[in-house]
Amino acid sequence: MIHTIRKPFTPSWVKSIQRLSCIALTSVLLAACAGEDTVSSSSVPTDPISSIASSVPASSVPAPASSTPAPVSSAVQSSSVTMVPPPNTNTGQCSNRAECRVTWPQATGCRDKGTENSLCICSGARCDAPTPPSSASSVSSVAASVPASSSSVSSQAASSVGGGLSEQAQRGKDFYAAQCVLCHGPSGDGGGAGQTSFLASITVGTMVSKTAISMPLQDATLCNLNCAKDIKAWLVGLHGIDTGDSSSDAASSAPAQSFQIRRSKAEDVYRRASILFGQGVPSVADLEDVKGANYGELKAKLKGLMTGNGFREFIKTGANDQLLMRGILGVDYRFWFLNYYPKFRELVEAEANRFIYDSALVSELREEPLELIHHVVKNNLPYTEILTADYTMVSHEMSRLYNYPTPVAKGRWVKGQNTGQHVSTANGLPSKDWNNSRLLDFPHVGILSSIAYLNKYPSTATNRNRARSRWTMYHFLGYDIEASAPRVNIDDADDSENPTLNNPACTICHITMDPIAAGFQDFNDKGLYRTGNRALDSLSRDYKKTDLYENGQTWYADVLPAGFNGEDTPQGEEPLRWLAEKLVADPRFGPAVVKFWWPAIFGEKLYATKSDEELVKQQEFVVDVAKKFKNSNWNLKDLLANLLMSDWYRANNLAGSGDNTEAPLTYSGNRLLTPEEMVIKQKSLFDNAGLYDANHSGAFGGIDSVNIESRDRNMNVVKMNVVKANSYRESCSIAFKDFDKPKATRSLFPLVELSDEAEPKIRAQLVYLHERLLNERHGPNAKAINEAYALFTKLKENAEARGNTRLIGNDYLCAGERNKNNFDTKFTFAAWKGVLVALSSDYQFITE
Amino acid sequence: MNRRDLLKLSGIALASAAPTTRLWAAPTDYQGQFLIQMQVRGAWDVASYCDPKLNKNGKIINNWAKTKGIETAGNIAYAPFANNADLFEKHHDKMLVINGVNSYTNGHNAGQQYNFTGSTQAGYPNLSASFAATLQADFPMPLLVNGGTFSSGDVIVPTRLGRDIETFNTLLEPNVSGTKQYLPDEDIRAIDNFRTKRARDNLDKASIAADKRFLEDFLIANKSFPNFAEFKRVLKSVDTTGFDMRENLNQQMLYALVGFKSGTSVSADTVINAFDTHSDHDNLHAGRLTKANNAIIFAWEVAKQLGITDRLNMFIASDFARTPWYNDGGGKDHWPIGSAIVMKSGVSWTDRVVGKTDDGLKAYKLNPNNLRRDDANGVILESKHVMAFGRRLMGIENDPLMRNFDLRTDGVDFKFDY
Repeated sequence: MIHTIRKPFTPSWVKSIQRLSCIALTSVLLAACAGEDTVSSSSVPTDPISSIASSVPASSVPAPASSTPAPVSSAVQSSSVTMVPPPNTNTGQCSNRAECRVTWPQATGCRDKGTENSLCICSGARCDAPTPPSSASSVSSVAASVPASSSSVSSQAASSVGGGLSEQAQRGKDFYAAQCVLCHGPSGDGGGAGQTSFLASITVGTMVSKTAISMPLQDATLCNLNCAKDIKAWLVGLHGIDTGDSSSDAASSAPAQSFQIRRSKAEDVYRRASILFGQGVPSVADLEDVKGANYGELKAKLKGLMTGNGFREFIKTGANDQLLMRGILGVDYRFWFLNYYPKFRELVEAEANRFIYDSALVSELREEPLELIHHVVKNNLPYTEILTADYTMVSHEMSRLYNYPTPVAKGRWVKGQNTGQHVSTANGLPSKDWNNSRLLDFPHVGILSSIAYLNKYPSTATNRNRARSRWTMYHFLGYDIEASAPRVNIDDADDSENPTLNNPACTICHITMDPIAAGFQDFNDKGLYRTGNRALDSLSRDYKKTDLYENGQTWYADVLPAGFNGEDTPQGEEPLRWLAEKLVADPRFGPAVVKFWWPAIFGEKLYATKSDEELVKQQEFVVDVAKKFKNSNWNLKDLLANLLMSDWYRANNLAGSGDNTEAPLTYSGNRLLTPEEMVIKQKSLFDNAGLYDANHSGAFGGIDSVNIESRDRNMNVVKMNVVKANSYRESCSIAFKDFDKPKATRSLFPLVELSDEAEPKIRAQLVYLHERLLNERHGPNAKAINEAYALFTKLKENAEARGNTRLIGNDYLCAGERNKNNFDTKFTFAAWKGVLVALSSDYQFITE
Repeated sequence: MNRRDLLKLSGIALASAAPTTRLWAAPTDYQGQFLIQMQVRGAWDVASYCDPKLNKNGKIINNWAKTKGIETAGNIAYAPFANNADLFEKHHDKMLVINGVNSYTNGHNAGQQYNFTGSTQAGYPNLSASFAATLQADFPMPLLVNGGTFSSGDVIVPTRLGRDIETFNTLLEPNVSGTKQYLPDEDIRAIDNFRTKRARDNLDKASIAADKRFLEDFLIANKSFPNFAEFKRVLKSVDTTGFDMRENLNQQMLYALVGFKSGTSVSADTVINAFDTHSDHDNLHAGRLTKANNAIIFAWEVAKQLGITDRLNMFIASDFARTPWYNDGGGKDHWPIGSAIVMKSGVSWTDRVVGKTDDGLKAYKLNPNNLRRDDANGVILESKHVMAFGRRLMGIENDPLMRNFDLRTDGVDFKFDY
C-alpha cells in the first residue's frame, strides 16, 4: 500500500490549540489526556431505579467530581504562560507565498501581501510563532485570562483565588476556565472572534438547564445541574446580572417533593420489548412464563428476544433513523463505478435495462452499513467493530460489484471484502477490462468506508470531507459541531488567506473538524477509494493544478493534517483506520452510543425532557449505563437490555405528593408505536399488516430518509385517521377469517362461537381481547369489561335493527371477502366486528 | 412553562378539563389570515436571485453576469438566472424583498434555526408554528408540516400529511370507499363514544406528563371533523394543468392551500432541499431555484383559484447565502449574509426592496424607521428582525404564547410595512 510521502506541515502552536481543544472540547481536563474518567463512581447511582424514584430537591443531586475540578484550578494558579504570539518579527517581508518559502519552507501563505503589515503564514500562525507551551500550560494560560469578578476583570486568576468569590462562584469560575472559555470568551460574553456570548440565556432563565444537558458540547456529561448553577453564580456576580431569582440558585430552594414510581410488571416489559424487537405480541404462555421474573431473569428473557429477522429489522431501522443510509439517491457515483469497477461495467452492459440493475444495486448498497451493524450486534461482537471492522457485508448484487469469489443468493448477506475496484493510471482512468494486476486492496474501516456512508455525506473540492467529519462526530461522539458554530461576524470573514487555517473566526471549529475530515482523505467526493494517481490519493483535480500540490501528497497542504484531538495521525497509519480506533477509544463514544439508540427504545431524543431534575438524572443514568456498556465489552444487546430494565422504560405511573406534572419523571417508556412497530403488532395478532405499511407510513409519522428525516411522534388528526381507516377496513375480514377457523386454533375469538349469546361467554371473550390487544388484564365484571359489554350489546342491537344476516350488508363493505347468506343470524358477528374496530382503534392499541 | 400551561394560556380547553362540552366544529366562518413559511434548505445564492450582483474588477461573482445585466420587475431587481424572470415578472407586486439579512453563522442547522424561528436558541417555534398555535383550537390540522428544520416549540401538534395525494385522500373519509361505507353510522357513533370514554378515563388517572399529553392529543385527534369532506372536494376542484404535480414542493403547496380553503388548516411549513451547491453551482442551483420558483408561482395560482389570495402570507428564507465568488470546483460556499422574501397581495408595502448590501454582499446598517442606510447609527438586519416582522404581520407579536419566545430584538422594529 502506498502511503503519504509528505504530510502538510502543522505549526506547533496550532497543535497546541488542538491539544487545548482536546481538553476544552472533549472530556475532563486531565482525564482526557490521562485516559481516566474523572466522573466519580460514587457520584453515580449504581441503581438506576433509585436514581429516579427519589425524593430529590435539586440541591441534593450528587455532584460529579467534575463540578469541582481541583486539578484545573491548581493549574490556573500555577501558570503564567501566555498564548499571545510574540512581537511580529516578520512583517513587511512578503509579497507572495514563494517569498515566504525562502525562509519558511512550510509557509502556506502571505497575509496582506506587499504591504508594510504583510507577514508569512504557516498553517494559521505567523511563521515565527514560538514553540508552543505544553498542553497543560496551554489550558492554564487560557484560564489565566478568566476574570475573577466584576471588580477585578483584568486580574489574573492566579491572584484572584479567594478574592471575594463565594465557594460556589469559585467552582463555577474554575470549571468555566477549563471547559467553556475557548468558545465563550473569558467571561461568558464572547469577546474574541468566533466566540459566543450566552449571558442572555441567564436573563431569560435557560442557561442552567441548557448547560446541564448540553455543555460542554463535546461531553455533556461533564457539567451537571449543580455545575451549571456554579457557573451561573460566578457570571451573575461578575456581570451584575439581574436574573429575577432571589438567589442564583433558585431551584435549589424548591421544596422537596416525594414521588414513587409504579413500575411495569415483568410481563408488560417483556411484551413491549417483544414488539420492539420484531417478535410480535407474545403468546399467553410466554407471558405467563415471565410473570414474577426477577431482575436477572427478566434481563435474560429480554436478551432472548434479540434474535431473528425481527431483531434484524429493529437494529437496521433504529440505525437508519440516525444514519439515514436509506436516503442515498444519487446516481452520479454509479457512473464512477463504470470506470473503477470493471465487473459493474460488464454487468451493466449485459443488462437489457441498466437501470434495473442500478436500482437493485443501490437498494442493497443502502443496507450495507446497516447490515454490518446488525452483524456486529447479532454476533455479540464489540460494538466498536461497527467503526473498526476490517470487513463488510456483501449481498447478491454487491457480490457482483465487489467481485466476491462466490455468488451470494438474493436476500442473503455474508461477511466479505470489496475486491472489485481497479487502480487508476497516473493520469487517467483504469482500463476498461478486468485485470487482476490492477486490483486494489480496499481497506475496510467499518461503516465509515462503506459506499452508502460516504455518499450520504458526499464531499466536494472545497468541502473536503468536512460534512463527513461533522456527521462522524455527531453520530459516534454525540457532538454536534454545527450546534457549537459561533456567530460569524462578517467583518471577521477574511477569506484572503485560507481562513480555515488563519482566521480565528473559522479556526474555532476547523481545528476540531478538519483533522477528522482529513481522516477520510483516501476517499473521493463520491466515496470511491484513492481514485487518483495510481491509487495514491483522492485529491481534487483542481487542487492538483495549484502550486500547493506536490507529487506524492495525499491531503491538501492548506488544510490541517489528519488527526484527532490534537494528535496527528502517525506516518504509516491508514488515516481512516487510525481515526476509527481513536473514535472508539474516546470517552464520548459510550454515551454517544446510548444517545444513538435512545430514540429506538424510548421514541424520544435523549434529553428531550424539560425538567431540570429529570435532565440531571438522565445524564447520570447515561454515564452509568455507558460504563456498563463498556464493561460488557461493548455488547449492544446488554446495553439495550439495560435500557429496558431501567425505570426510564419501566415507569408507568407516579404516586406521591405534589403536582405530578412537576415530578422528576415526565415521561415513560410507554409511547406511540411507529408504523413499523404497528405492522409487527398487527401481523402477530391479526396476520395482517393493515394500513401501517409503506403507503401510509408517512402519514403515521414514518420517515423516508430523504425528505422526511425525523419521525413525527405526536398524535394528530391524520394519524388518527390512519388508525380509524385501518380498523374500519380490516376488522371485518380479520374477524371473519378468525371465526372461520376451528375454535381451538383461533387467535382472537377462541372462547365464543357466533351462536353464543350468553353474557358470561361474551364477557370472557372480551377479557381475552383486552389482554391480547390492549395489554389490559381485567376480571369479567371489571368496569372496562362492563363498558365493552355494553358496546357489544349496542352493536348487536344495531345489527338486529338493520336485520341483515349476510356477511356483507347491502351498503357496507367487508374488504376482500365474498358475501355469505345467513351468516350472522344472531347478529353477533356484526357486534364482534365492531368490538374489534373499537379495540384496534383504541389508544392502548397504538401504544406500548 | 410546560406545554400544559401553554395550552391553558392559549385558551385551549384541555381534554381532561372540559372534554364533553368542547365543540370542535370547523371554523367555517374563519376570515383571518393564512401563512405559508417556505424553507429553502442548504443556503440559497441571493446574488443570483433577489440581491443580484455584477462582476467587479475582474472578480467573478456570477457567471451569468459575464453576459447579462441585472433585470428589474416593477421595483425589484433580480438576477437573470434560472427561471427567475417567471417569478419576479409575474409576482413582483406581491414581494417584499429583504436583503442584507445577517444570519451570523455558516452552520446549516444554526442558520436554519435562526431564519425560520428568529432565534438561535433551541426550542423556539417556527413562525408557522407560532401563528398556528394562536388559532389551533378550532382547526383539525392547524399546522401542516413537511419535515425540514421544523420546531413546534412544543406549543402545537403539527400534522404531516405524507407524500402521496392518493393515499392521503383515502384518509380523509376513513369509513368510506367509493359510494359505500365499511360501518354504519350508528356503529361508528357507538364505537367513537366507547373510544373517547376510555381515553378520557385514563387521562384522569395518568400521572406522567407525557402520558397525559398523548391522551390529550389523542382525544383532540379522535374528534370527527366534518370538514375533511370539504378538503376532498376542494382538492378535486383545483386545476393543476401546466404544473408538475410530481414535484414535492408543488404537492406541499397544494395541500396547504386546500387546507386553508376547506377550513382544516391555517398555517403550513413547506420545504425544498438541496441548495447546498458547493460544486457545479450554476447548474445545480438553477435546477433547484427553478423548482422553488415554479412552486411559488403555483401556490399563488391555486390561491387565486380558491379565492384566498388576499389572505395568504408567504415567508421565504434560507439558512444563509452563498459566497460572492466561485470555488475551484465551480461551487459556491457558505456566506452569512442573505435575504428573505415576504409575499402578500393587495398591500402597499410590497413591490419593494429593503436592506442593502455592497458589491461584495456585505450588509449596510439600516435605520429601522426609514430603512435607509445609516452607517453611523443604523442596525445590521438579522433574521430575528425578519421573524419579528413576521409575528407583527400575522398579528401574534403580543400573544401570550410569544412572551415565552422573546426574539430579543432590543426594541428594534424594522418598519417594513410602513
